[in-house]
Amino acid sequence: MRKLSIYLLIILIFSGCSFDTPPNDWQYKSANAFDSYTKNFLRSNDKMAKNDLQRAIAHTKNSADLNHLARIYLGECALNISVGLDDKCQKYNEIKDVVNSKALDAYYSFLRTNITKKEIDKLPKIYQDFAWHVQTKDYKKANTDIISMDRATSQLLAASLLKNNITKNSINKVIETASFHGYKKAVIFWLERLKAVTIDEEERKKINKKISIIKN
Amino acid sequence: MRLAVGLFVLILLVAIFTFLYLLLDEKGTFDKRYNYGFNTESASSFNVGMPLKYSGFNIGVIDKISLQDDGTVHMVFSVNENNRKWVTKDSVLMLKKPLIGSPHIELYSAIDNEVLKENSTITILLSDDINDMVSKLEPAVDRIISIINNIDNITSYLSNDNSDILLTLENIRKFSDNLTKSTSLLTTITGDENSTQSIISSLNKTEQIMQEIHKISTDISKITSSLDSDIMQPTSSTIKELDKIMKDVKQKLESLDGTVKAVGSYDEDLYELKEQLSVGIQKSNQIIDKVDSLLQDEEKSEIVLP
Repeated sequence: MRKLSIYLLIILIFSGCSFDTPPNDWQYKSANAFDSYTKNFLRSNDKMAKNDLQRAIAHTKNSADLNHLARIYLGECALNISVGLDDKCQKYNEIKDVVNSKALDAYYSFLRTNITKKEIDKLPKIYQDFAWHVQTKDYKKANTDIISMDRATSQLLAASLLKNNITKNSINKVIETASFHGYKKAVIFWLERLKAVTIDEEERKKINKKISIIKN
Repeated sequence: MRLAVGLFVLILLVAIFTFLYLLLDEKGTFDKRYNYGFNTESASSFNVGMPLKYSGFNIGVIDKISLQDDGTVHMVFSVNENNRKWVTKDSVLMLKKPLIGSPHIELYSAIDNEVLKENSTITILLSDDINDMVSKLEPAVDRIISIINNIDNITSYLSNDNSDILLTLENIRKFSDNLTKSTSLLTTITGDENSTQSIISSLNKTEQIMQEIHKISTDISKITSSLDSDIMQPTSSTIKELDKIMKDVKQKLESLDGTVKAVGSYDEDLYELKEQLSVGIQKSNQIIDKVDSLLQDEEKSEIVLP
């Protein structure tokens, strides 16, 4: 019985050590909440997404590190743009003077589609080629860049930033990716875009039926 | 760092497995068990897992029940090393079926005898339920017999010539004799004819007085009835109406007071409710945070931009 108690104590001590919370706990919580927001937003779980975003922001506001908050604002803006919502990233714009991050400024310019050649290097690596090809108006390569992107959210964002220069093939690829991940909001948006660029009436009807099935 | 984490996990795993081993060992899972058997006519009242007791302590359980080719039932029970010493030669088992509680098998052992070899067969006796009941009813029967003895003593005392009850009955008889001899019950009680006459005359006078009182009260009643119709009734009805109005006013004031108070505390209640809701939401958010961190594939401290 004594041995038993000693071993139980050892297990409890070790378990206790395993669950030590890091001092920057808020950062982990905020990042997790934003990750959850990304998924819920794209999956059309709007109420949950709203709660996730509020939590992410609330955790971030426990710290003076506004860089983190700026990332959340830009992330929110990027997601809105990726599903065709009109967003001018106003929240980021309001705090960018106290953030002072060239990387985030570059990302902001990228979202606003007015990025300069100097800023391209400061973008996340996944977008650099794409941004360069858009800048040089080489839309064929830009479409190829979209297809070769391995992150679904990046693919959705880049595709929507390409606006009318996106090819039907790229749209189909984006729909495929969004469908695979269950991103309902993006699927509906891109099906609508596909319908808009489709001339064949029969095909348009099929797309329309798909949209109504998914919406209901 | 990796080595430290690996070592940490290794020690934790060793501690967990040792703990489990010791726990199971403590429960006797790894103890060697010794099997013994017994035969009965029927398996009713027996079941696998049924305890075997010695001096009120569980020392073993029935592990197996099987039907033999000759129609009898063979049962195997096992005991551990510590309790094996109780199962000795000439030991007897007895199935106990208490009126309250689950049945069990009791082991009656001859302690001085040598320990019985493993897989030996022991004799079992089935305790008779009726005998059990009789032994339980025995104290009640003793009590009933003592009550009957007491009743016998009382009746024998009553039959005695000098008993109080017989004397009382004799007195009642004498009293009834006197009653039959006297002219009236009153003379029988007072024992004197003159006294009886005096009481009768007093009673007659009392009757006259009562008649006069009745006359006076009738007159008073007439006077009050005239008062009642002229003054009392109108006044009374007015007072009643006034009372009704006042009650109504009071009731309305009370409900108005409640409403005023309710309105006054409305803001406070709302504020309290809002506070509580806010706390509830914060708590649920904390739980969601924990769930989120469990559901994420990897812990990230940086916001990943789309």
